[in-house]
Amino acid sequence: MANVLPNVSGLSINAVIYRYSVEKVVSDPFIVDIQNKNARGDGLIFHSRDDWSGLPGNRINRVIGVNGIDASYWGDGEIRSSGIGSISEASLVYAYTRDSCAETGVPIVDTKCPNYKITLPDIPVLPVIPEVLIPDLISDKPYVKESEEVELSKELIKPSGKKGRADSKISKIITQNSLINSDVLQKAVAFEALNNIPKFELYSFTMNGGVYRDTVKLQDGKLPDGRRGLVNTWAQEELHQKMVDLQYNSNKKGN
Amino acid sequence: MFNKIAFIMLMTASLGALAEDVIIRGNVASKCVIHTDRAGVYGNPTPDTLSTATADGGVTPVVRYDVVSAGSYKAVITTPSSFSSSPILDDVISWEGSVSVSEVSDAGMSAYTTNKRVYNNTSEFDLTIAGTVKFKPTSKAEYGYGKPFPGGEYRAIVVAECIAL
Repeated sequence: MANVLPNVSGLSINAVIYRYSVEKVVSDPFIVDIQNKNARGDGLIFHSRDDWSGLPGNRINRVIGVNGIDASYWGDGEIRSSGIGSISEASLVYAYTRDSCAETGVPIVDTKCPNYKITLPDIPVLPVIPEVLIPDLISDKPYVKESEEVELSKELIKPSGKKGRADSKISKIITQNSLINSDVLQKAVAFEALNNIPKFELYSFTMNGGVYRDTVKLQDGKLPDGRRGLVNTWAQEELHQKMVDLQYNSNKKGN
Repeated sequence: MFNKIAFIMLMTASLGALAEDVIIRGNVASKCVIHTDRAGVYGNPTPDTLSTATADGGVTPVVRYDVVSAGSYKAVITTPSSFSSSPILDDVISWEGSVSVSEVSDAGMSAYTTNKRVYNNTSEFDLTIAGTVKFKPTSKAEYGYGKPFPGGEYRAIVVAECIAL
């Protein structure tokens, strides 16, 4: 049956459907057996007999329910006849159902199965951030080694002229820090970068309230054309005319 | 005295309210179901003949009986003796028809063929075994004496019945 049924676990046979035609003389004895061996023991797991003795030949189409017998019990099947007569156009069909919860050797994917277990993919274990450092990260203080922290503190305490150096040191430390993937640290870096934008303080400039009226006024009420513009227009017109004439003359010569 | 009368009247009223109609309901599902597995087609092998035989270019209809209760019903199948719709025909039509068992779900049903009763254009089969049996009614019509059928569409009806014994 391995080449008849799908090679998956959780399979059970619900019905056997067989069809065949019998040709015989009415008075002749003729018996047809449809059967399957028991793959897990002796004897038969399925047997059905059609006795055509004393009957005219015909075509039979029969469905026999077997109430969900596990597929592993079903051995090789056959249609065997005895007596005087012949069988033609025979077919044997096994109706089966597959229970996805009863599969073995593969993970259960059906969430409705009672034996379903959530399987997580292999996720690499990230280094744990010590809880004592988290408040430091929130307060814009990057995670540094203890020796570096002491050195950094000394530089930050210096009154003047050393702040730029300290900032570069902070950036360097942040770049080298293994906790760069941490969300908290990323935010800290982003805020730090925001502080280094030139003239960033202008974004927080406040204007006094009130009405700001237009202060530009036309003195004599006239707006004459500029002489420079007039000359420029003439020059462009002259140039355009020269180019048109040049094209006209060249075409004329070509002809 | 008044109180006693009032009490008796109340008792009478409460006894009247105890009466109730009890309904009994039930459904009977049919134990014999008829289904047309295949509709027939008339072939026209010669101008004066219409036939459902495969050799004549026709298609034989198939009617299926699903019987739940053995020995309770009989199948009565009547082949056509007239067209239900056709062009105008002014001559006599000669009808032939028969019904045979084409497929069974139990070998014992094969005996239906030998045990059938035929009268006029009707065949009767005692459905003695529970299961499914298919019948093939055939029909053949010949027009006049070698007269061609007029062009058009012809329809005839096979009547299949399941009658309780």
